[in-house]
Amino acid sequence: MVVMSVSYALWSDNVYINATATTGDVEVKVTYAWLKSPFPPNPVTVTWTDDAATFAVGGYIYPGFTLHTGTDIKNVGSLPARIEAILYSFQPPIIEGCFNITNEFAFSPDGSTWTVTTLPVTLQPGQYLRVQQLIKFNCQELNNQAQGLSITITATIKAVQAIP
Amino acid sequence: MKSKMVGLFALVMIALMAAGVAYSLWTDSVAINVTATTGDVEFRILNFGVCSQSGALVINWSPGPGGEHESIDVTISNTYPGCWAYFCLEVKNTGTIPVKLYRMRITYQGGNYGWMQYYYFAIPEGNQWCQIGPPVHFKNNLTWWSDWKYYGVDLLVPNPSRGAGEVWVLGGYFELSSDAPQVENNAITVKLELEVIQAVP
Repeated sequence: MVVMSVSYALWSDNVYINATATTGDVEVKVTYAWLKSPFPPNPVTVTWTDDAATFAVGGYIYPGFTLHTGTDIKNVGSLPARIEAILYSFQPPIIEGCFNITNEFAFSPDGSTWTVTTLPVTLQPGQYLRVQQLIKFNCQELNNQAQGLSITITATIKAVQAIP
Repeated sequence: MKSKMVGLFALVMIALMAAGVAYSLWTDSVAINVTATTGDVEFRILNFGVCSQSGALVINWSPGPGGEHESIDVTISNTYPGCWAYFCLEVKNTGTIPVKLYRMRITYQGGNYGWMQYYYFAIPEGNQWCQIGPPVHFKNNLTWWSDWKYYGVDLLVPNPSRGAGEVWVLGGYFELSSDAPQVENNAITVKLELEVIQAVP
């Protein structure tokens, strides 16, 4: 049998080390949006979903038209979220130079008391950021080319995980 | 065995960090949208009419170049020193936002240029078609810009704003000075041009 090299099984056994974990979640959502004074003469419809606040201005805007908006954002994720800046885009792109936009920010740990802050800001889960925009339409560069256009301004607020 | 694996994991992590390996960060975003329609400043001169005049003046008008109706051409013939006329313009706000008159310009187009500087233009009181009063505004006061061959004035007269679609009447007056030198072929054609400006905010 030794000469024929007959094989045989080797007995064996394994032990396992199981690692279980739950991944974190970076998630912010809009919780409230409103129009601030001074109110424009045009009717403005304010709506919001988890992902966006929308201010639809009725009638027609003109150089000198001013809109003051307020939007509350909450960190509804499970990880700290850092908000560094607001990025603006304009449609049609030629109107980019037509708007003078200034922002004010406020922080709240629970949505009830607010303190003025600046970006960047880190929101722990459950904390809030208030964004107030003062948007003034002033289209000197385009002169009359900006007449009769349907326009959209989009402010994107990006939250990034704040750890490690 | 377990301590060896932990040591190995730590070693791998240290090696990755030392090598500067990047890792992605999770993100989320929300947007604030503002939608609007920009207004439009437009107007048209709908009508022109002579309300009263001296002597046998003959006054005709036609829409400006391209029929755009933001200016009209007015031809005056049979003129003589001291002649005068009142006229009315009907103007409509064809844009989408309120406007008010901002400027009037009377530009030489053809004919007896030598008399241009002897004309006086003015705006009478009144806002009803041909129910206009004396020429109280700007008489003897419109500036003659010889380099550009026009009379121009900023209309700082009582000048209410006019809403989109509104039609209003603007009176006018002209007079040829009695000092005008004697000439023949005295007909003249001018472009009467209005400029409006947004009346909001």
